[in-house]
Amino acid sequence: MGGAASVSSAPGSDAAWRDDPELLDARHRKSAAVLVALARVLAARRPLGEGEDEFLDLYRQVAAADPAVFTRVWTEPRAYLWLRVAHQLLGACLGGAPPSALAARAAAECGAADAREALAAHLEDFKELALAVALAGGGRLRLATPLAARLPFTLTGARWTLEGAGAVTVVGTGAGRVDVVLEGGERALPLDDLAAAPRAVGAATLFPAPIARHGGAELVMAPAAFNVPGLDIRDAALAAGREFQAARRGLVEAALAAMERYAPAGFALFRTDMRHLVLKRREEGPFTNVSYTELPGACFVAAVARPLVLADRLLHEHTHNRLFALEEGGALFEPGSGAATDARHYSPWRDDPRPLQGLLHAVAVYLAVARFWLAVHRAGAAVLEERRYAIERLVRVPRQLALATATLERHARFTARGRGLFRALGAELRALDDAIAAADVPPDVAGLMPRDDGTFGPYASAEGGRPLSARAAVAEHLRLCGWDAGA
Amino acid sequence: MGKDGKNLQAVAQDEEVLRITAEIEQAGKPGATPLWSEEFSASGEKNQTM
Repeated sequence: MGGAASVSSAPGSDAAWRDDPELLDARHRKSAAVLVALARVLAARRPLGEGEDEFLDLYRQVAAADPAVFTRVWTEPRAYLWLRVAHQLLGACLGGAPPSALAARAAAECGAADAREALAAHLEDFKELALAVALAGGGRLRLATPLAARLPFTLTGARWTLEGAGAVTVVGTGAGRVDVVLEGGERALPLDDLAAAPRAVGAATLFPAPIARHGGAELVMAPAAFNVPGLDIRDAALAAGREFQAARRGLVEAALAAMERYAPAGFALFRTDMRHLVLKRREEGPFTNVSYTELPGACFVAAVARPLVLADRLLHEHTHNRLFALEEGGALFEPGSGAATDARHYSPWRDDPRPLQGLLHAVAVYLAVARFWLAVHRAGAAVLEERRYAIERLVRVPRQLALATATLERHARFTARGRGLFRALGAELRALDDAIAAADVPPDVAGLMPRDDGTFGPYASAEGGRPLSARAAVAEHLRLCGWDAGA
Repeated sequence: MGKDGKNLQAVAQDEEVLRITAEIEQAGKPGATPLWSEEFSASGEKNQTM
């Protein structure tokens, strides 16, 4: 009989991805190597004429930085995002490789007429990373030409945000300070002792970033860290703002405590992997909850005033982060099979057709989430409605997992790695089913949906709104989406 | 990277960097091997009924 812990390392290729504490490190090592290679190619090929000079000067300073300081900044999600977009845009300049959707949005947002202009604008943003490395190392850096940035502003890896309307011009850093031009005058942002109180800097204000802490985990909750071009969740993150985060820091800490209690192995990895959380309002942005492969260590989650449900969402997004890292190690689907882009398959969790790679993500994620609720159920949560919701999850999610795995089995063209992972997930699902069968979970219960205020409402049928059981909810969704099982 | 105790200058001649440099040089050309495979970028949900 597989318990929650014993099913986490099912045998098979890449089975260790659930448990490997260094899984995300490989992404950062690769991105550092790509940075070196990018600089070399820019210096050799000069796609911008001499427009690369300032970048190359700053790169040389970053390359000479103390390795620990560089690593502290370079392992931030925003540094990885910069690198990926830079790689895309350089590829577009040199060989006409089509940029990713994110890189194309970033280029459009800065008004670039072509790939060269987009690359030039993006290399300008490297100033922010060079400043961050200089600040983290306690050194001084004076930019040859200043960095024009939008407010709210922060440096990568910093734990403060400068807020206000409009723009800020950053000219350099010194020991414990960032030099900016605001309202025509140069000022030093006073970063020392910021925890005491916000500081006025002209018409702008310097705030400490809210940080949720529990059990060694630290989540910086700074929407300003994601005020970067091309990121489609940016506006929703900024709309929520710093105060929205600060008001919910205790809620996040309670969610981390719940994760530690009910998913201790997952929490130990979360503590290592995840650095940033931005809470947002459910209705804002293109997604309710989202993680990006270009932002390892970060997630964006709709606020819900129930720590257990928020813990579910954090665990969910963390698992996406780990699967993205696994994917970086080699393709899981055959190249050209359309698994990442061909959205034509039924997902039991979404109303729209999905690509197979998304479905594989969902299976991996919901297995972790189901184990979490099994642990809640076994422990007997103190609150009746939480006990009911745990059981509802344990009735509904395994049925959704069975539908999704059937679709993958029927349609996916896995690589050897992907097949190994899929087998391992199948073993996890069988162990989960066995564990649930032994845990006094009834065959069906009333369907429940969590509300933003932390209460639970009945699962309402899309046809007339009558309450549905958990099993009926799965069946109705399948029917209304117009799919047969395995389609 | 810090874990290796090396800064970027020290890894500039590493085999992996040289390989990646060659891959970037070939980006977009026929037969080129992309540094990152065709990717599923954002994993998110939007006000789903489930």
